[in-house]
Amino acid sequence: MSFLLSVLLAAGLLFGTPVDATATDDRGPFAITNAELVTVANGTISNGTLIIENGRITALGTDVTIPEGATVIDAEGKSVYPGMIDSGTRLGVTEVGSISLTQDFNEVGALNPQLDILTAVHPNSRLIPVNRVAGITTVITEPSGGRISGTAALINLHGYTPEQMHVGGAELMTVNYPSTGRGGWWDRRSDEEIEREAQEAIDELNLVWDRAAQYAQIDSAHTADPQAHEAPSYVPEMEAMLPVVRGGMPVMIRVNRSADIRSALEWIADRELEQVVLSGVSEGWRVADLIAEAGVPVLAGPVIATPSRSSDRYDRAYENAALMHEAGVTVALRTGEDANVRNLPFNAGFAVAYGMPYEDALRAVTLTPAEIFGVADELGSLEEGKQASLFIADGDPFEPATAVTHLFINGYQIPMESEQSRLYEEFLDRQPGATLHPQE
Amino acid sequence: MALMLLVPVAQAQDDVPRVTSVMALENVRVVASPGSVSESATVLIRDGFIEAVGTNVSVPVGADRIDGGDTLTVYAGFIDGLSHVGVREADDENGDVEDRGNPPPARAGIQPNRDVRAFLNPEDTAIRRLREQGFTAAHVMPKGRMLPGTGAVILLGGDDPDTMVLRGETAQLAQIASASGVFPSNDMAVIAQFRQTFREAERRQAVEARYDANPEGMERPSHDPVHRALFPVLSGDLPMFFHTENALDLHRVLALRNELGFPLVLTGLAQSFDALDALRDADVPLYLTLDLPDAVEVDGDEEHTPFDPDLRTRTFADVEAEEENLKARLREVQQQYERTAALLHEAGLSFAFTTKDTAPGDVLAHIRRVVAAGLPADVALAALTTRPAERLGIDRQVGTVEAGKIANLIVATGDLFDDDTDIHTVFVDGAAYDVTTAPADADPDAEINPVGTWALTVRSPEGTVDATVQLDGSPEALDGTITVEMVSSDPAPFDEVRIDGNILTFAFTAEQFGAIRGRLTLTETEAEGTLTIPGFGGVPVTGTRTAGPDQ
Amino acid sequence: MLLRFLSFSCILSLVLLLSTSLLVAQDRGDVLIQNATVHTVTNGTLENTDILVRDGRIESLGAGLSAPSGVRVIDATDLHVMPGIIDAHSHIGISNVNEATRPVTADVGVGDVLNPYDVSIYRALAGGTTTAHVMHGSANAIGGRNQTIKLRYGDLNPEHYRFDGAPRTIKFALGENPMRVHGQGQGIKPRTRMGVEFVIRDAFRQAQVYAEQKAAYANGDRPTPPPYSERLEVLSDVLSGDIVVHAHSYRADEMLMLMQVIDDFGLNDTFVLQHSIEAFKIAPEIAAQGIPVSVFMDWWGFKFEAYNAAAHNAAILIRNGITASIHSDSGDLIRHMYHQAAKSQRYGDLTDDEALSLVTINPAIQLGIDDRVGSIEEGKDADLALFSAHPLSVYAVPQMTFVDGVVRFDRATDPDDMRLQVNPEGDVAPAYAGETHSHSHDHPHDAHGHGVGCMEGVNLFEFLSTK
Repeated sequence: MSFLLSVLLAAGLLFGTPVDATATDDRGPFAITNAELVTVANGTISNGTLIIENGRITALGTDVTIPEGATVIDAEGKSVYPGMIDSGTRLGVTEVGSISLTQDFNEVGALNPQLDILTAVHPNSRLIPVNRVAGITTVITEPSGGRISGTAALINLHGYTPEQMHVGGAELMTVNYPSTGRGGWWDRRSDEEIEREAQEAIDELNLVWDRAAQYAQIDSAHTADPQAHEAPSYVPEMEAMLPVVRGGMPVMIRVNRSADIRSALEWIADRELEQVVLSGVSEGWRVADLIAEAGVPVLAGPVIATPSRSSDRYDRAYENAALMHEAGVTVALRTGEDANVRNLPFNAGFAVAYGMPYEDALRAVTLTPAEIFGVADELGSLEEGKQASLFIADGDPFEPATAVTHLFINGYQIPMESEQSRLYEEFLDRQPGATLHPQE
Repeated sequence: MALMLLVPVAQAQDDVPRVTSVMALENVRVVASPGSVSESATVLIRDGFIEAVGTNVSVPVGADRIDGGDTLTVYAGFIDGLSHVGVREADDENGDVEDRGNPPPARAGIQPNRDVRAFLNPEDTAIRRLREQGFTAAHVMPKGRMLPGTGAVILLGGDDPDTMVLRGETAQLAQIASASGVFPSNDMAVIAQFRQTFREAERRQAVEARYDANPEGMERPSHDPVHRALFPVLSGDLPMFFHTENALDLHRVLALRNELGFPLVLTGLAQSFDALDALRDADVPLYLTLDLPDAVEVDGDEEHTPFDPDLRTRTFADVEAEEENLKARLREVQQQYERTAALLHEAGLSFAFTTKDTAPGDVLAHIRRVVAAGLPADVALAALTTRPAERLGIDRQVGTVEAGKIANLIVATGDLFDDDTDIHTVFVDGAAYDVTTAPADADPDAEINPVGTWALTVRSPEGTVDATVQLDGSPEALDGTITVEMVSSDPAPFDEVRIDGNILTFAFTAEQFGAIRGRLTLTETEAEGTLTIPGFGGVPVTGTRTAGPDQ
Repeated sequence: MLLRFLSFSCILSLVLLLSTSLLVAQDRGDVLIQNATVHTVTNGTLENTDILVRDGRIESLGAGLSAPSGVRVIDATDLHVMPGIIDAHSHIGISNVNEATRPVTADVGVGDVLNPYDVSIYRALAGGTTTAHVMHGSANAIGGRNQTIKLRYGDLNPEHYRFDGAPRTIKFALGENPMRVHGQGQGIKPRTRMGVEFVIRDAFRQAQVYAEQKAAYANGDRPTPPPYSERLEVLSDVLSGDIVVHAHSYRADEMLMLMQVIDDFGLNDTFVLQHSIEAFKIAPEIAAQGIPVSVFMDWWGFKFEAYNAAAHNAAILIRNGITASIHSDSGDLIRHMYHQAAKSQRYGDLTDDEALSLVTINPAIQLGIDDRVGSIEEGKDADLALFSAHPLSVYAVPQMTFVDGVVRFDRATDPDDMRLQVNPEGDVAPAYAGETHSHSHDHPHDAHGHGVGCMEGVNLFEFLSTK
């Protein structure tokens, strides 16, 4: 154990060190000029100017007056995009994959609605700058494990406290939908056993909702007339479920197999859930008609992944988002990543390569998730009045060879730097060079 | 069956003194050997031998008689080309070792110096169950891992291990079977260990030969029974029965043979339909498994549209077509296993059958599925009688219904390969055994007392792990512990454990996984079921009783 | 149970073999690819160029080539051709990965357990990959031997997958994995990076002694040969330079350690560094010793020794004159290594040819097969990948893949179910619970051991046990 401890100590020291450069408090004004403005909401403006003041986009177009004292960024030959949003990550809640004490997304217990991911978001995680410089300004960071994992939150990838990072809009209650799938090919439970276990899990989920409704009833009665009605006894799980059963807190259901998606849609209808979104959905294409009909949006991904079945055609994961989109499903994309959230644009690129229209794939990492998460008035497109979360690139941001040159998150200009870019600079042409050769 | 022929048969098992050693089967159809049939014949058995067979045989006064009414059919008893029937479990291939990378040979499964004759158990219920399927003799091998030991041919009757033996030192058994938690712990390492063991045996053989010729100046070679046991294999005098479970095993064994050059007999050969060319080139004796996939009912699509390998689906609208196609493929694959015997036969590859890895109660049903799938009945019969007898060097004693041979016979109500035929009586060494219905495998009304110790093998996704279950108390109030090798040497107490009929269920908590649940179907001596691990699902478990309830 | 759980039972119906045109029995094909943009990698990019393949070899390269009668002609107008991709570090197509029971297992080899039924082989072909260096896992300081294979999916004989003439190689592993498995797991060496060095040097010394004893016997200086040791036989071959060492490594210090050991034993010419997250930190030393390095493109952070990473690793190595490649170590990444290579242009400034060389000629050099594959040149094996667009574009979709001129993947006719066997007792279409991952959090180096990768085969129970 002492080895492990020493690793952790070393790790702790490192994580505690502010190794990454942070944004200045310079909130502009900024003027990005001569740029192609890919607004997402209202088409593309060529040779446009975009003004950032006090954290907001205050003007954009071809006929824009540059405010006094603005820092001008000449974006000749470049494009401005709204910051990308990854609809499912573990950014901020994990640092080193194999060291469980750096992982904060999976708590003990099956029913944990009272846990809030924001509690555990580490604003100085080294992973954050490494990933945001790809133009990703905002992510869902989510808990996992158990049946109800806690609440997921939308965070900006800049800020010194979780509160500063948290983007308004509701948090999402994360539910792992019971699966009737085998754990793997080696799982030898009988079909009946699997079915029974899944049904028990669904029954339990129903019981949670029923009890939560009951709790809400007791609580409402007490609130209305504290003299006549006893206060509900302290049940933290049920207290946490109140905003869910009363409406206001959406539910994010993690589900992948087609049979489970089908079951989840039935459950959503049975419980009459209105604010609900599916996450993962790797076999969504198989039941895309049902998802579309139910009107439930999906957070699909990763796109760059292997198919879920060995009998599947090799590109099923690549084309899943496209096929759902084609069937009329509202699709946002997620990587499900932590260290490599930076691959979000490439996931979107693969979705395009395998059938998703480019505009829709771009929307799936910008405005569509903003709409799903109820923050479309703040994020997701280049529009006047919105948060200035955007980036400048010298080409199509989905292409690997494209360079992202400037990044703004909530109006702060973010340095295009990370631990990794600094290592690149330091070691590309290391001084001193080679030490004595072992043979010398 | 509506037979007036149900005369009392002398029970081999009864305790009342017998007054004659002569038995006559009269008015029977005799299939003396594949293709050689006599109607209305008599088979006379005396002192364990077939004394006479024919249509003109006089029956001594006072003989026990069975009147076959011209429908009972007599066959030579089946011979199992390779199995573990009647063989005790040895317990020296488990347990803790000091250095798991270099375990003692026995712990690694390297025991070519063992002789199955030291492990015979006439009480093994599998003997009765296999006999009821028509088997009267079996080529048995010690149970074990990569090199379990040498085999013997035994008769499937009697209560004395020594008189059961027909022939000893028949062959070495080998299999790509890994050890538990020690080297060699997977197929890759087993293959490496075969190289190591053979090369070292070669070296020792040379060293010993040199020492025997002229010991001067040489250190005296130490006694080494393990490698020494392989000398007859190296010199080509003792065949190596190499068991394979699939086409990959088959290729791997052939590659080893080509490299090390031992006298190979291939057994098992499931999935050999994938490796016909390699089998043909190998030119070695073959023993085909009678283990078949469970005939899984694939529902839907009554018309059984054939599998379309070129099917391309695109959207949700095609999902049903995809599923029908996958079902069609599964159906075809199931049939392919049943067709394997016919395929080998059609390819000119002759084989005998082995029941190794086959549930004894399923064997006859599987033989019939194989014949229904195209293997000519005569070929099947030969593969169960004359062919194994010849290959095992016992054809002068058994394998046909002929005067002078050991009275190993099947009396059936008709054609043995017909689904409606029952086996009426089986004779082993002249003793008659009534065929009774075997007990069902799963029985909620069974009264099994699980108290005692059970050795379990857990097949995890990434390796095999041994576990020991200790059950105390009584069936009504069970208590106990489980010890999982490599996780902890301390027994973990069960959080709950109970038996319903022959179903044992239990739960325990493992630090790394949380609550693990088990469900096992038990016989008095064996266990099979699953262990359900949170986050992983159910992994298969098999096991045997090693103690109790009375011990 | 019909079959051992490790082996999926069963097989593709012969119908599939016969009716699917790409799975032809022949090993070497003939084809004329016309009007393609040809990325030769070693000689630049040729527009509107034809490639004539005869008997599995590139016979000629040029404009206006004509097809001999009976040779299939493929119109590749608007298509791009690159050399078949080579993965210098993979674990597909084998039944076992790790024999983790001792810290030195030179006696085992994954070449003994090739598994042509692995559908990952087909999926790799569908991403333009034609050759893979399939490796033993990283549980042991000295692991087993690896095997270079050509992805001849459809052929059911494992022997037919070996890349003829490819040099023998062996896996070494430094750092956390052997330390965890043996030191933490079993309380034996190595528990530290010091122990890793000792285990390796000790094994080398034992092999030297063994070789000396054998030589003494051969010279008549001793009456008997030493007790046979498969392990020391293999290690002797390592020391004599017959087997190339491929060393899994993460930290710069441990790479320097092994480079010193390798230099001490005179094996600089038969040594390749693998993974090597921190190789960029010691690029000048690696370059000085002339060691090739195969790295992840952008995986990092999955364990502590992978934390001080930069996706710019490959670019820094190339700029320091090192023969660098990018590998997959994953059943997912091996399906889009062209895209992994493309990312070297985001994390560095490599040219198109340099980026493509990371997954073609450079891994070919590392595996000692560059005379046969890794570039499009007359006389080389016709291992080719056709793309809808420039293979470094995210929008490029692989269209056809050739191995020895035989079409092993064709997107135009690619059917759903390409398994070569199905479990006769299994579900109709098994889909497993749980998420699909983009293969970095379930990377095998991750604590939970689910993935197919370096730590596969380390027993699940053992792996999670804390002792």
